[in-house]
Amino acid sequence: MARPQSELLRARTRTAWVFLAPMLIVLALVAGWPLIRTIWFSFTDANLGKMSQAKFIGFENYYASFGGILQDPDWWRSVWNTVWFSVVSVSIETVFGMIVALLLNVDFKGRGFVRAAVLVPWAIPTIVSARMWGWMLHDQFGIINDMLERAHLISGPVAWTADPRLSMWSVVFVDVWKTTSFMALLILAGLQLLPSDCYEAARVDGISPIKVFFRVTLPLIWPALIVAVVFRSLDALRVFDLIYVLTSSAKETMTMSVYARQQLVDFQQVGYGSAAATLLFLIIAAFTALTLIATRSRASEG
Amino acid sequence: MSTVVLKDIRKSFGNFETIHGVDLTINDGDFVVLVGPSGCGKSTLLRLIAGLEDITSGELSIDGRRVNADPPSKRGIAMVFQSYALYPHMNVYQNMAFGLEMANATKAQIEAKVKDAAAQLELTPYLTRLPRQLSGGQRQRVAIGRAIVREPKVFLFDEPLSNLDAGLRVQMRLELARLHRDLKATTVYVTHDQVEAMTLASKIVVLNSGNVEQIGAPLEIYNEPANVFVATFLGSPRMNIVPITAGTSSNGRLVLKSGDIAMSAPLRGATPPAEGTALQMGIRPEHITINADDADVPGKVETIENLGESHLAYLRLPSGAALVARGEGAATLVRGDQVKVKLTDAAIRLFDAKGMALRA
Repeated sequence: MARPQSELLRARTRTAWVFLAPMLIVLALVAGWPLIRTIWFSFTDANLGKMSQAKFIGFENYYASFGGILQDPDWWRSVWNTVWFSVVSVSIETVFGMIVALLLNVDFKGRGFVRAAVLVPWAIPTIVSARMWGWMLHDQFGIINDMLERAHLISGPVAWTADPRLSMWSVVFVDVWKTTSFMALLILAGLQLLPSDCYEAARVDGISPIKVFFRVTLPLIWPALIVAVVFRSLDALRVFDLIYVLTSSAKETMTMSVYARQQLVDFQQVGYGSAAATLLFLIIAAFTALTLIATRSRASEG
Repeated sequence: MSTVVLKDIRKSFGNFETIHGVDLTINDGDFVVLVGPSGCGKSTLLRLIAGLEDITSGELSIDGRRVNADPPSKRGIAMVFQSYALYPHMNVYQNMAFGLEMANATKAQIEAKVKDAAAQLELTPYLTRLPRQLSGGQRQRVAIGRAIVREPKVFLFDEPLSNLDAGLRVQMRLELARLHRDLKATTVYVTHDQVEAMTLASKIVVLNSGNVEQIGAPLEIYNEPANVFVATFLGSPRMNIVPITAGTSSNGRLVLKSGDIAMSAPLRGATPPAEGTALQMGIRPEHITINADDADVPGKVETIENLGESHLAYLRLPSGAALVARGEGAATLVRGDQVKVKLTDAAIRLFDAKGMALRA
């Protein structure tokens, strides 16, 4: 049933397209085209040395008699590492971010300064902070080992980023150090929108602060919190720079992005690496779609 | 039996004192209205009673017990906020029940209390609605319901009707009056609306810049204002204030001079001021009659406002002083008319140069 559009509406639609066009063209060039090429390469046996001789091989990079990605235990290990890293780091960041946001939401002298200072770790480029922590966590010359030894908390140097039992925790620690402030900022924005009179009403009613937090604050900032968690999760799922700088291509911390890079660059397997990148894209796309559906159904509930 | 006693209550924010020693006794069942212009400290005073702000000095007792150091929940008060302060994510029932959960009440007790309050406030059909699905008046009733279920010793209202439109405000005013008759609870009510103050209060407290200007029954304050501030704050349009000079006095009457005009007014037992003292004369618009038989003060009509049931005539006297007169029905005068006015003798109030009423 086509409704007759008013002239004004048609004019407005036309204007909207004109404004959208530059963005759509740029997106198609910088995101669409590389994405389509990557997906195409994933169906070929392309090699970094002889790109022009690439042949179409169907799904063999994914699943084949000689072993596709889906049969590679290293791939599944990197999937597991990515999920583990995302869940643990985002959870810790959410809890810490919430605590920091609640503190910054209280009026005190110098709050503006503290608010700005908290953002410093987030403002430093990841590659810089990862290098910085790499040095600080260095097993022989690192300041962390030095301080812990002086305090007699450890007896000998600890290989924070090389020890398979510690490396993932080290990576999580640095990620938490870096992104808690971002999480705090997003939550703080949610907290500042809360009606202050509700809290006075709760004080008059004699409701304990803990109950106020769980029954009033948390439900009210839930939408902001979900957005923050989704943002961070999408970021964490494609984590690359931090892990690559701190632990290179070690299996214990290898994520999907690091795996794809290793195949593509180190092993020169463009087709195989592209298949890994395509899978990573599909996983993140699926996760985004799921959260969009979930948040939309939540929104329509209310 | 809930009395609230304030003794020399002071409040400072930093070095800045905003409440300058308020003494006030609120008897059981009183409906006390704190009224004053914005920034006069009336809301601060209410928040001091509620315990939402710390009292800097002085003593506050509720039911004979000093409560200065008690948190709001231990003072036996319930408060209704200007912006309703409902929990946006809870429905009407949960909003009213939330405060009771802390008081160790059983589920059945809570339900009985909430249902009872809802019935009283005609909210029963809306118990499962969220605040945003309610109209302003309904939200305000939920806020009142939340106060009622706590069965407080003292109800505190902070400008509860100022967010409602005019029609609803009148209706809610009547409901509040009925509620107070039914519950007979001690109430402290803050407003800047003098109609609310006049109609609801058993006792009005007029505040100005952190000081109590006058305490009394509504008509007492209206008829016998203690000073020019109170005289001009209550009443719309406000009481006319004309600077005059004292003349001679005899037989309890004082001659008043304003430019060339001389007239006399009863002293009503006050000590006659010395001749030549600068005074202020107050007269309400309804006590000025235009072109009465014995009218003697000349004036010129500057503006006429027809309000329907009455009209206002803005007059200019030869001395330059302005007067507003209220007359019944539609005005027959027009702008520019020369008239003579009569001031009702017994309604003339005299104030000294500082604005304090001359009293017996």
